[in-house]
Amino acid sequence: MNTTASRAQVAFNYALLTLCSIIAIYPLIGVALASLYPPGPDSAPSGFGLPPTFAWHNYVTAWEQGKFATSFTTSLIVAFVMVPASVLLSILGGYAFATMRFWGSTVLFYLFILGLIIPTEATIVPLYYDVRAMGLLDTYWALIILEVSGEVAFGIFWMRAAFLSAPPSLLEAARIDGSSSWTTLWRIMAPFAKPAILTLTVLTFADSWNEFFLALVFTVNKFTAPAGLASFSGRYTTDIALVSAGAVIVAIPILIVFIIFQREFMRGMLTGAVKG
Amino acid sequence: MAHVRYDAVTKRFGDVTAVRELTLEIADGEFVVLVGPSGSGKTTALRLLAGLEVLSDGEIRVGDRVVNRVAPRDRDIAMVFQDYALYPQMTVYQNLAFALKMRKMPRAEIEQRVQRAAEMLGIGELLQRKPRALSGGQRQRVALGRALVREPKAFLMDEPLSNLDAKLRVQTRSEIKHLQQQVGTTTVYVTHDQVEAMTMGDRVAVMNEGVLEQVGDTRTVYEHPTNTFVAGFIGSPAMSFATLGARRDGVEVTVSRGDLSLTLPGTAFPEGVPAEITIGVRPEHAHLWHDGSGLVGPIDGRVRFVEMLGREALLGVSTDDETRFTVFVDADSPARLGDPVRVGIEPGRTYLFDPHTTQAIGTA
Repeated sequence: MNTTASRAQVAFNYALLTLCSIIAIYPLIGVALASLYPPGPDSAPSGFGLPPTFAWHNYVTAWEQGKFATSFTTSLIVAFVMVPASVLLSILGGYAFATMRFWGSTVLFYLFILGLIIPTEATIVPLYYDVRAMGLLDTYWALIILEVSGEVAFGIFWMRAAFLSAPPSLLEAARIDGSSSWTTLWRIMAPFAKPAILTLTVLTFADSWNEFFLALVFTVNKFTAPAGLASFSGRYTTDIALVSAGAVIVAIPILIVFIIFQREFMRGMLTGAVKG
Repeated sequence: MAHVRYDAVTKRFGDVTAVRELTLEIADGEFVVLVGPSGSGKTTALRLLAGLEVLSDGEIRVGDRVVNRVAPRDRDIAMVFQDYALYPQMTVYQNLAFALKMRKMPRAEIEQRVQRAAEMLGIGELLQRKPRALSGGQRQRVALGRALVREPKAFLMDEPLSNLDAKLRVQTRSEIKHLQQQVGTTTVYVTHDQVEAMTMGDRVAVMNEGVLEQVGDTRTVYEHPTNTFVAGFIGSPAMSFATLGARRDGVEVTVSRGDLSLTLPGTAFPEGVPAEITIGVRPEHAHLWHDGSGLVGPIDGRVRFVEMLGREALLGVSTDDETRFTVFVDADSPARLGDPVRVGIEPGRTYLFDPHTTQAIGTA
């Protein structure tokens, strides 16, 4: 290999990655800095410019005025039920599709894939009438059920791929050793797919936490954090500092979850990408 | 322990017949090796016995029980996989104990069996390690141990040595053989390596394209192959073949093509002399010609390759019409690439086959 060319390539890779990182981080840093400008209609945050004084109190004001205590509670309750339910169903579905041969499995799997392709917006009107008929409007259950049904499509697709990456001999050895399908799943396959499961958990939590559209349509008093932020920003549309503080508050839980699971998340994302 | 019987077993995958009417009886405590090239159906035959594939036709018995519709876990067999299939998140101890736990065996007995197997395999100090912390050889032993603790009716082994380096492979194959003799469990062993087959098996079953070509003890299969496939597959370096015209000359038969001409005894053809015949010669039965050696020949040719094997060398010799023979010679043989040489065959060591049916006729 030509070392000079290789170094140039490495330098180019770094330059490209740095550029992409800046593009990704720029709005985040911009929002974080804007959240620290003195509040009020005259406040004029500008890009990466440092605020004249750091108005940390903006966060307290935003928390109280945005009623984030209520919307955070909703988001936490929904996520607390929805994430385990969704991950559990995804594991069970993914395992079945990956390891069992049953009549209609291909058609069923493509049906799940269809769930990935069709946008929620396309089904929202009939869904609204269904939810209303069930008497679930403005309840946690409306959000939980709809989010779970939306997530399992991706979850099953994801977990199926994770289980398929296991050597078939592992399953066969378990069958010969006398392990039932249930035991094989929880004692052999789930530990094997742990990185993928943790990644799915993080992604599902992020999706649940970021839920905006369903909350806007199906709830009135049970807004999720992003929906709460939307109504907050409507009311304080001229106060960019407070809106930015609200945005940072809403983003913090996801950031914490990601930092906690960062290593497993990366491993899960790379599962199957490189030969183990 | 139990005997195993395949009775007219066929396995089809769609239009492809992977195993065709396999009938094979494996005695209690016997070590039988299924050997053949890729796609010969040997692994499918093993998987059918394990219950990992469903038969299309026929019957398989383990002991006196027909197991066609018995789940793998209820067949009381243990399998060693090519990639070992150790459970990655479990320690070696847990790997060995898993099948016993699934059978709800008392903890004390599990402990006893695991310790005994670990001792037999010399992996006692590895029991608390995870598979990723083991070398290939150690993983292989753990895989064997996992089969051993079960004390099953039969061991099934699917190319268990193919992931080991050459030196370790030689060492481990004798250990497996020794282990099997110690415990006396019926063993069906699959390999594509004919050296492995010859060194390990009490009997060898040679398969090709889903068909059992020959089964017998290693010496019989080597010395009396039933057809050109077995003759060419068993033995390393492989047997050389040439198809020649044949005619009777009194009590002798002359087989010839171009300048190549051999005189064979007519008694080798009790059912008459065919117009054409395929001869087969193993490298160890061909030698450089010298007058008075008593060899059948001579065959004139040129050296096409020389492979130094250390103790001896292997010459590739081609005749003018490109018939090729391989010949073992002393390591200090002066023969060099391109040299003209004359080769002779030990009397009684020329294998004769029908070129149309590929079946063996005899030796001359």
